[in-house]
This record gives sequence, C-alpha cells and structure tokens, in this order.
Amino acid sequence: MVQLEHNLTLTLQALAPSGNALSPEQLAALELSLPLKQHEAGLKHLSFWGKILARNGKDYLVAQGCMRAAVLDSRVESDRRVCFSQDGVRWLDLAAPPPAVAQAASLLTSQLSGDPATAYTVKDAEGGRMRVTELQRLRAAVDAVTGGTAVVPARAFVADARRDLVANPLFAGVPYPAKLESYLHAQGGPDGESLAADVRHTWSLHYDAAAGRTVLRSLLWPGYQFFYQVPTARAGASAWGGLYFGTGAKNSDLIFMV
Amino acid sequence: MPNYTQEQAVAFLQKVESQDGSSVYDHLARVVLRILEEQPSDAVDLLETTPELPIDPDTGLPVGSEAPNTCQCADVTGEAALLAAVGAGLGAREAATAALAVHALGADAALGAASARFWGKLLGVHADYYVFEAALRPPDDAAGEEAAGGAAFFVCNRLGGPLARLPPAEPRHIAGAQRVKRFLTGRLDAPVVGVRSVLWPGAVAVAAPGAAKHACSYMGWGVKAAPFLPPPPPPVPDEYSAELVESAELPLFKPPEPAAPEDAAEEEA
Repeated sequence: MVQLEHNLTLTLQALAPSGNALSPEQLAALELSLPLKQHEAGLKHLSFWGKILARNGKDYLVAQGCMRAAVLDSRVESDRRVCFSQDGVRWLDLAAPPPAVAQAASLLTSQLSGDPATAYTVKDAEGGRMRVTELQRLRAAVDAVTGGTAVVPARAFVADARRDLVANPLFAGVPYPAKLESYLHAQGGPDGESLAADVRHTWSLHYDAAAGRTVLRSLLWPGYQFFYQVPTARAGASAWGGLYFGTGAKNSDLIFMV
Repeated sequence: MPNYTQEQAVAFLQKVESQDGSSVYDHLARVVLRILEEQPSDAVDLLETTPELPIDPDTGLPVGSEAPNTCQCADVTGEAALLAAVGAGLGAREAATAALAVHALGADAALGAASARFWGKLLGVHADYYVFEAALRPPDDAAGEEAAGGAAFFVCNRLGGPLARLPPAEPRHIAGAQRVKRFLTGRLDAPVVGVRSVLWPGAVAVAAPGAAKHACSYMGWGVKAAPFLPPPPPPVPDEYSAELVESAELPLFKPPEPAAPEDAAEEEA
C-alpha cells in the first residue's frame, strides 16, 4: 500500500466543487503540521488522506504515509503508517487492530461519535462479546476505504530493480483519460487491475474535455473522489490526487441505486 | 436612369467588389436559387425582414427589446465564503461562476423573477445538477400555482449552460421520491424510473445527508442515508385474488389415459 504524494492544493481545488473541501483554517494548520509530523515520525512519504465525519462535528482528519513500498507478487507491501488529528495540529498514530477486531468493527453501522474514548460492544457469531474502541473502528474504516479505492493513473508508478515502487520518470500522462482502463487500484501494483475490472457502476467518471480533467467518484464508497489533470501547455504537467470525505460506511445498496 | 445596355448592366453587377471574391450578381443568383429551392410561401416578407434591431446609442441595447429584469440576487460569493469557513460549499472558483449564473437567471426578462439564488448542487453519475431557485412575481391575471407566487427551480448540467425549469412537485411525487433510493443519472431525459421524482428539490433536500450542515446549500447524491427497504408487498389475498379465481375456474388436472393398442393399430391402418 503506497500513499501518493499528491499536491493537496491542486487536489482540493479540483475536488472542492464536488464536496471534498477543507476549511481554510484546517488547511492552514495541515500545511504546517503534516511536514512536522512526517519529520517526527521519520517517514519518507506522508500525505493527507481525507476526513472521516463524526457525529459531534469533530471530524477525524487522517493522513497516511510509508517509508518504503515494494511490489511483491503483484501486491504492494509497505510499512504503512496512519495517523489522525481532530484539530489539524496534533497528529497521533493509529495502530492497526487485530483482524478479529477489524472484522467486528466492520459490523458496526453507526457513525463514529467523534470522541476517541468511545467504546463499542459487538456480538460475534458465537454469541461472545467483543469490545471495539473508536480508534480501532477508525483505523478499520480507513483500511477498508483504502482497500476499495486508492486510485492511481496507469503507468504513473513502476517497480525498480529492487522491486521498490517508485514514480515513473517517463510518465507522460494517460492516453485515454476518459476511460476507466486508464486508472488502477494502487494496492495492485503497476501491473494491477484497472478500475474497469471492478463491479460495473462502481465508479462515476466525469471527463471535462475543455479543462482536460477527469473526476472519478466511487459509488461504493461515497465520498471518495479522485481527479486527474491531463498535461497541457497551460496547466503544466499532469497532476492527480484522491481524497475521501465521508462517514466510512460502504454503500451496500449500490445494486439498487444505479 | 442611365441608358445602359443589358451587357453593360450585367458587367456592372458582375464586378467583384467584396473581399471574398463575390459580386452582386453572384449574391442575387444565390438568393433567387435559394427561393426556388425552398419555395417559401412568404418569400417577399422574408426578403424584407431585417433581423437585427437598430442599436440605441444611449443605452447600447437594441431598440425595442425588453429591458433586463431587475431582480434581487443572492450574494452567492459571500455565502460561499461563509460555507468555506466550515469546509463546505462549492469552492471559490465555482461559486464565482454560480454567482454569474444567478445574475443571468435574475436578468432574464422573459422569466421576470423577483429574487434568485443558488440552491445547491446534486451529484449525478454521468453529470451534476446545479439547482437555482427563483421566486416568481405572481402575474396579475394568472391563477393556480403561478399565482401562488411559489418558487421555481431551474437546473443545468454546467454553470452557464441552458437552464431547464423543473415541473412543480405534487405531494405524491414527494412521497414517491422519498421512497426512491437511487443515484441521479445527470441526464434529464434519461429513461430511468423514478429519476424525475428524485429530482424535485425539497423532497430530498431535508432528508439528504449533510443537509443540516449546508444550511442554504446542498451538494450530494440526493440519497437518503437510510438502508434500502423495498415497499412492502400488498396483503396476499389482494395480490393473488385474481389468480385464485382463475385457477378455481380451471378443471382439475387429469392425467391423459394411455391410448389402447388396438386404436393405434386402426389409425395406422
């Protein structure tokens, strides 16, 4: 799993018209606090991932990063780190819960409360009770959303001789920006499957030929949006980025809604 | 009138005077040819019509055209700044374009709106809807919904594009729209069941997620955050009464008796 170093300003500019907008206050705090957190944590990459909306309005801002990402068996393995903040200033690490807890967290359908100290009780299949904390739920939601989304343009990344995932220096934009085949799931690596292999109607693709911009919206994870800017003389090199702003809930009614 | 011969007159008309190399003769020939091809019933009237109105030098507007409507337009950019402070809204760029679209709607003399504002944006699968709300002045001699002075809603797929007026919603439409949980297609003419019902603003605005935050703006999929529940089936007697009657009238099923071998032999013979 690799988190891209996308340009947050460009991404917000492209995605704000469809709802993924940060307040100027939060953006100003992020631009200062994230590089500091990256330095403290000793990470090579750290970038803003999105926002999980909480019931009391204290939304969780989430960032993720890694030191190194390698392509192994057409999967991207990385030392991924996730951190969260509620004020945009202080960032705390989010540990990955054990698989059983993550599974239990996925059964909870209520919105996150916004108080990190909240604990939930989940009944498992054997009738036992499992305690899931809000932060475990938060990390499980972040992982689930990332697994279903995390889009990159095709051929933007390549594996080098050590199988490390690196940016492709020869990337000159995708040839068909209005096609789902031009975009890949990041965790599949450079040769992974494109979004066209997903279940039909999972993605809503808007291509603005005049602006040379594609906006992809996930209908399965409402709130995830991705933009891709075609390289032009006016706009400069190609740019892309994705953000998730939502409650962390999967749209299980997708089949009835398209 | 000078005493021209026919050759002299034709030569004068064929003299090339325009920059693109055509002459009066060519132009007249094209006009006559077009009249003969199209054969309009009012050819003389069409020839005499001057489509462009003369420009009034004082106002810069065509003489005789209607003056632009004066309308109280909402401060879209100001509202966008407020919404941006809480991390909502369209973003500064699109808000500026939306403000221009609101002014264009308000200045539409044919509509004659008393006030206009940007209602919000509904996300669609193929295209988005920008929704505008205009309060119409009740006409003096009108009756019905127009006289009620109700709000009219207009949508467009891109800011500055053509606006389509949404038909007024009836209570049954609103009730139906609230039961429909579907993504909007972004195509007003798409043959999808229920899309028009969802489209009516007011029906979805209250129930939609995030509406509480966007006090006077809405941007979302127009989808209720409740789990999908199909409408309950009608009681069994109601649903199957017709079939029950039909099956009662049918004779009981009897297995066909096997044909006697002698009969078969006779038939063959």
